[in-house]
Amino acid sequence: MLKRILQDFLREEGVVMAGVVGKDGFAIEYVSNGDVDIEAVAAMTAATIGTAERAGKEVGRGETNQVIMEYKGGNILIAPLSDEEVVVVVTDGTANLGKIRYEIKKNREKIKSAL
Amino acid sequence: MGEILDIGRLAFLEMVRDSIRTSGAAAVKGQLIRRALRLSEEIPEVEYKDMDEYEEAVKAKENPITKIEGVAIREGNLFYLPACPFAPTIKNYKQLLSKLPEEFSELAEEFNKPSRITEELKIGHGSGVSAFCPIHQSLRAAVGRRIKVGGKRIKIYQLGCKSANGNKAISDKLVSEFGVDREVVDKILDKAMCVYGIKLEEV
Repeated sequence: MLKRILQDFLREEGVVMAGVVGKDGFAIEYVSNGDVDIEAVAAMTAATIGTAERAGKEVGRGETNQVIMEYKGGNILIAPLSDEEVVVVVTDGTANLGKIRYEIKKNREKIKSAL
Repeated sequence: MGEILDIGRLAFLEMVRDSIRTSGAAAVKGQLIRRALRLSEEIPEVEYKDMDEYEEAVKAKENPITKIEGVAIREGNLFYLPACPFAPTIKNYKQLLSKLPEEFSELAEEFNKPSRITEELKIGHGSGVSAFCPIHQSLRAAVGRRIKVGGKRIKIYQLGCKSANGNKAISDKLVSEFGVDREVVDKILDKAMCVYGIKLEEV
């Protein structure tokens, strides 16, 4: 079920990887269109979301909704699902960032219930 | 501050503290467990004919697990450590700073929360007392995967630990899964800092 939901992300233009990882940096499930070192992605996702959450608290901005990292060749989007898990989506430069953000929000509860 | 400080240990602890502060305890817990898993890959696989031969290797300090934590004492299928292998590190830190940083309690708390990796390794789940338990318990569990006894792989269950100030932490979940009375673990912790059980599983 979880894999199927993640595969829907891959149907979006420009998405090369979608996964769910624990905040401890261990991968739970992922799908990709190419070679992805999921262990590395999961570890860095955990560090990134951890840092984002700490920064938000530090400056009194509350809970983290999403973390978006934009690069010349694409984007990485990370969004918390719960206290324990996050969803991470990696895109190339052709992806519609707004659409991916919307898809993450739309599928959040569905992913959570599939865990 | 009469003794020479080990600045390598101090730097490691300060880095852990800072990482907890900036990246959160969950991320650091994962980092420490991943380091343990990676380090365990460097340990050669060994096989013993039975648990008595396993125990002899412990006493002779040749058992891979002994090499990472010192000599454990056996009581049936339970093993305990009279001293925590991180005691010198803690002592060293306290020589300079009177107490361990608050962030370390946060890490111990995070380590005790249920998670997929700690479930897989049969660690944590209430058995952790300090920031050192994530690396110690996971390294031992991972090294255990590289040991066979009588053709079967050993599976280590972390049952309990005791902090330097005498507070006991026992994992009811892992105690129940292992199949030992909680009171037995509690009694061993009167004389020990760390208790674990070993089961043999078909490969």
